[in-house]
Amino acid sequence: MSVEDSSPSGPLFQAEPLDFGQMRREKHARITAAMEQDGIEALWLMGPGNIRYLIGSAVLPADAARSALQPAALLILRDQAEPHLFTPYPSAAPDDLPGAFVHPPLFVESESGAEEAMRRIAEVIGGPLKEKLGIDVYSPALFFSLKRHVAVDVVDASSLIGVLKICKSKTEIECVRRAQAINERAMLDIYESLRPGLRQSDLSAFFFSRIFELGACANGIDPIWQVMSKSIAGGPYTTHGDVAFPTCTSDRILRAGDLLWVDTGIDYHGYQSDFGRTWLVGGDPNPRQQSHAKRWGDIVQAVLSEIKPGATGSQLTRTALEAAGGVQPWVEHFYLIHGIGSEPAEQPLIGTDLGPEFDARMVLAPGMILVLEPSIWDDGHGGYRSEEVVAVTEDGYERLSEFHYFPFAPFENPEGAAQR
Amino acid sequence: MSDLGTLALESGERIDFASMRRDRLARTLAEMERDGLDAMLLGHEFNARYVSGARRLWTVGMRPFGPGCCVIRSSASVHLLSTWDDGVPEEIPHDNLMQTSWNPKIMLERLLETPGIGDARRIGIDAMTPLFANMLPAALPKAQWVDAGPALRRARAIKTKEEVACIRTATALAEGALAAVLPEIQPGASERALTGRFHEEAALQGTPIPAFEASFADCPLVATPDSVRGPRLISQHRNLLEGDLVHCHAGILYAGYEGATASTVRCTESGANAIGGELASRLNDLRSALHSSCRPGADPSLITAAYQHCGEPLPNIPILHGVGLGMEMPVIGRDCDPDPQTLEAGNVVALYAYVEKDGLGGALARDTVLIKSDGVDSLNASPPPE
Repeated sequence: MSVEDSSPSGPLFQAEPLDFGQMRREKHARITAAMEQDGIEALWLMGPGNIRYLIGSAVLPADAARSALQPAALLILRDQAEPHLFTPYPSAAPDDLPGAFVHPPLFVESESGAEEAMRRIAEVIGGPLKEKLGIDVYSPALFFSLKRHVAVDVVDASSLIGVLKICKSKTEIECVRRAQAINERAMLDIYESLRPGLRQSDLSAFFFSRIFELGACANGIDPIWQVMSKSIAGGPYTTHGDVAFPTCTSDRILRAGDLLWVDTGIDYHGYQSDFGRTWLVGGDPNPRQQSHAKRWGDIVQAVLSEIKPGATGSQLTRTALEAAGGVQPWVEHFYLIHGIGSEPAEQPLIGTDLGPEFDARMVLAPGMILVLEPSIWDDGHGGYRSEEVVAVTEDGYERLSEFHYFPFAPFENPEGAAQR
Repeated sequence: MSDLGTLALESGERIDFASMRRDRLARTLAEMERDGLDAMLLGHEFNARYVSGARRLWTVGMRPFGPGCCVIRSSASVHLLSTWDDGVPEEIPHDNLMQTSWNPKIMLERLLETPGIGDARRIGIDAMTPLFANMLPAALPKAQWVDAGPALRRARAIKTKEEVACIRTATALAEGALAAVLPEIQPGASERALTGRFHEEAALQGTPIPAFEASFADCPLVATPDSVRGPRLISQHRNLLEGDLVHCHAGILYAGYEGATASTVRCTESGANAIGGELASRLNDLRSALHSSCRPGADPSLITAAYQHCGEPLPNIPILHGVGLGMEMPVIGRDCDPDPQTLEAGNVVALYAYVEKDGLGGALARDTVLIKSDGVDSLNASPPPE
């Protein structure tokens, strides 16, 4: 028989266990209070990000097809102290969730499956709903079945949860810090082994073995090792004429001088990391490439110096624009800043096509986690992009990432961005 | 038919992906016609990939629904949410690419520019959110909204020879990556680290995309009372001990197609050993029974009857599911589809055999088979004994 690993916190953090149960109960209390306020009696959730937020990594990390046919789902009833989890993987349910709240899975991709699911959900609810029902995502069969059976108003559950998610507790911030630490430790080894002749997929291979060894709960995205064209005309074609990024990894063989924009992310107990750096295969950057990194560093420094509670999103985009000499320093389809938590990119989103009014209304508050990802493009000569992860504190920010920028030097201090 | 390797073979005897894409779109359009669908709005990556052949960025699990792919039947055209053409087949022109957006209103505006969508009277969807449930009918008030699932299911269920070659190759790759990890199933190995090792080996073979996270799960020798029996298919933070029974379940995607393998081994100082004994012989009997119940026209109840015939209770995992671009319908077993479709020639399915006994533990096996008009063709290396 096996023994329990002494720490589900993972090998890097065995000495510092976190109270995941306490974190889960706090979030449950917040969601039921928000439901009370909005007159929502029940929430039905199947979006993996929302499930990760409310109960941790209780879903088998799988391709979209398996997630759709064998979904985990949560039913949250306002007047109950625990959520009901319907899952094909009961062993992944939180240890402290009482057995009466763990149910066999529901099948919602066929009409008869959805009808049966409706019957079982109604059984758990125990009577007809009188107030609103919140839902994040439906299968079509469930959508039409619900129309037939449920008379109350259906509202968007994702926006309700989105409001709760935006400011993180200390434990949540610690989870993101740990996700980031695991991710960065793995990338440190990959950086050391980077050489011409390896394939992009080889780098992914090294990444997978390291993250699981180090205590990741899941990989989140096909690791990106994009070899950048020197110019936009060198392709790929884009709809907006800006840089294409991120494109899929293949077995492309890396060659000396290749400029890589790297992007990876993992999950730690429901919380995501985001690692972004620019690397160079087999060589040192030339002065022009170093100047790209320096410009990136100047923008990051300028934006960081503004980060504190009360600052607005438009203040940050304006600062970035000024530091970049009036040219928008991020890729057209992206952002200057995104949040991170149970989703790899969530609110606050700053500098997106949600528009300047949206940015003006976004006011920073303690507990927000910001991923700064400006990028510099010098058409004909490539560019520089890295990501900096910080949490907003009572009077400024703290860094959650510690990774070096070699072989580039975007900051005067070679160890990284200025510390507060 | 053999599986495919990964060397460059200039004589061109490997998969004709262009022909595979043409066949898949033709099958889709035919099924749309049968259901009277003028258009489909698809959010699930596996459906978008089936109709378009596009290789977009893989992220874990279901994405939030958005109209990421649109098929217009009258023009036989596919429109894709993709800001670039990398990974997009050449038959999809640049004009058919929609830039990604964070703003649902902008996303909808771009969708409405799709030629033919405004005239569609009947539109199929493969998922929905409350937000789009408000926005889409308001933007396209004349359309009737229906489930695209049945049409897509029928299209996807019958595999072309190229699709079968992809699944056969994917299966060989999954078996190969698992074989590389088996010697490491030793006392002290952590379940989670073995998960990472499988995906490392798979990526080194050129298949970095998982079908699902591989699991190496210790099986208790005595099951917990009152719970439904079945293997745990998620690795935990545990270190294996000498003599542990370990369920291995691992799979990858090759060109989007699932190849997977499952087996139970014993953890020893010299690596994984065969389990042997009563469990192994009961497992083989069940595998054979499942194999022989897979015939064209087979009622899904015949599959569960194979378990009954062998005197084995149904476990808490699907005992049969379709295999294609990931897991597909039908999904048969406890808590699965109450009304699964009948098996047909051209289906590829995974069969899961699971047996257990208090004091001995459990044993798991997966067989992947192509159903033919005159029997089945095993796509894994070792079919069950006749």
